[in-house]
Amino acid sequence: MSFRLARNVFEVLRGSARPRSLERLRREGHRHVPVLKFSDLEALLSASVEDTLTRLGLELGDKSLQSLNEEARLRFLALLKEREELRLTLESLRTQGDRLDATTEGVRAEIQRAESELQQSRSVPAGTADADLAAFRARLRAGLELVLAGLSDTDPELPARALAAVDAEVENYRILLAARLRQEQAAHTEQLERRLHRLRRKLEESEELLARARAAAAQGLPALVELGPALGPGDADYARKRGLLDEVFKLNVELRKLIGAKE
Amino acid sequence: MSTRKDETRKPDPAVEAGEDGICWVGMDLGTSRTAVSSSGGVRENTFSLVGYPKDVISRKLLGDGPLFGADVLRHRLSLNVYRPLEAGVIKGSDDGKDADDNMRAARDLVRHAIRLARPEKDQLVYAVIGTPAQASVKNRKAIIDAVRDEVDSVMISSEPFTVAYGLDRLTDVLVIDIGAGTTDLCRMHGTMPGEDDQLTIALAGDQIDRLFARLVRKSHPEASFSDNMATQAKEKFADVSPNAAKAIVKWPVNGKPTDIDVSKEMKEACLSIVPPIVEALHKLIAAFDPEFQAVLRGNVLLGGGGSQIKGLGDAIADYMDKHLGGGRVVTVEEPVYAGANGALKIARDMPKDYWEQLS
Repeated sequence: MSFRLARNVFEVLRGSARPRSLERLRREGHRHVPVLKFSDLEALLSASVEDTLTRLGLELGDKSLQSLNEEARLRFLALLKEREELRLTLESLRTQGDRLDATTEGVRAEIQRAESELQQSRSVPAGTADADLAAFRARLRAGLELVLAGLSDTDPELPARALAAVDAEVENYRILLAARLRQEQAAHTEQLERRLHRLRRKLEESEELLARARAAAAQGLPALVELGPALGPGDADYARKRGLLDEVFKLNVELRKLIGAKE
Repeated sequence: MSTRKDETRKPDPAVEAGEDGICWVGMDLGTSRTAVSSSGGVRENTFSLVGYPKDVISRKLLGDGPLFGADVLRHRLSLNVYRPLEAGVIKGSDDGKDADDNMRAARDLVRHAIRLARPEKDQLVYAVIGTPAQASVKNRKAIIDAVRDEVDSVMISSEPFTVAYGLDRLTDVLVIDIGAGTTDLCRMHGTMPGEDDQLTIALAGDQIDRLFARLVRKSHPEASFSDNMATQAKEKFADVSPNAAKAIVKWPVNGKPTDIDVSKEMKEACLSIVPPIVEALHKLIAAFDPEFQAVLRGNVLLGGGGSQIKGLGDAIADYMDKHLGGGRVVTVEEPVYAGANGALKIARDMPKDYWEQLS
């Protein structure tokens, strides 16, 4: 293996490694930590290829063996890079998830605002101008009555006809105004409903994206636990730990008996 | 890469479990989150939420099966939602209220958690499940009933003990496990902790959330927010250290997203659990051999989801300084998985014949 390739592999390995303090490793019961060297890495990769060939009972010529070795090394490097890329992708997914979270929150607030606006718009009565019109009609009638009272030789039915004509026109105007107001209100409500619909769709999309990002982040790269060997004689504290395990077991046996007795 | 084996080790027929064919699982069934670690190298966690479609339309949209974790939050309006665990045990297992529904949800949740552990189809599943220190026999039975069909053998272990075992801190150490429903405290002195060594207090993450929401509603009555939003804010900003960054949330005020500074309320709510925890620590320390009380005070281990509140370990240590004459608190590095990892370690270390006797 070339020095450059070994260094590449080493760098990728180092990049994917999680730093652990010596204190923590000690606490977790690690007494030996593997130290990686370029030469060890090179030897390890070659040895694994040769071991596989031996176990499969395959014999290859030097040239084929060399080519297989190179292929294995390159594949190993590619896999490490792939995993690193996956890790970076997942990190970016998590960041995107955080951003989407903020967007979703914003959209929810927008929806709330639009809903309250819609409610307000629906609760405004269409005939708010009626009172103004009634006052206007009363003033108009009073003015007209005053003018007609000043005329001496007029038809005695003229004031009543004139007032009726005023009433009819004002009523027509009221109906026209109310219809226009209703139309405007309906248009405004429709606009708000359309906006709400769009916002809800946006919220749904954001939530879906968020869930997908989270699911991908959760499933894409299983968090792997590096398990040490199980407890065995010769381990520090073996006798005491074994004693504790015996006690956990006994407590569970007692629990089963209690459960059995109750059933 | 191969791991060099300790040459001083000899196989113990009683302990050598034979890795092939068995998937060991450590599970922390929490009120808020369920975490699982397996000997296959997987560790996963999910919200302890189970949702069943409400009606025909929801079933058409979401399918027949139950939904779990984040999916439940997403489709909550179309689901009957269950949070089957309360104070670390299955709801209703003591008083029988809604016991059947919660048991069904717990069973489904366990099934889901086992699936997350990804055992091979032909592997036997041996699981250790952490329960609160003072869970009753009924509660433990309910948990065993819930997992019985999903695993081939199961053992129950006190949650703080699993944390201590996982971290190899078995002597003269006090473990505090702050969950969502309860805070468990356990005194470890090299032997199996007895009832006198364990305390459970009903003050934990959920109570912090409720107090935080109450304080914000009082100081910012104009702000509109749900309990879920308050919990999310806590998860994002909880920090009780002296130089904590400001906790500013963007919540609607009259329908308009508005920046609201909730730092004071957040700190007050998070710190509210410190005095009762130290009081419980005091009880456990005071009842211990006087010669070792100082050692115990200097070895407090803080774990559980609640330990993710930044600066909480120092806040507890400060309070211990003032009221107990000193103390040192270390926060575990992976609070979400500490219980599950410890349970997995117990499962792997447990002799195989013990598993067979309980299967």
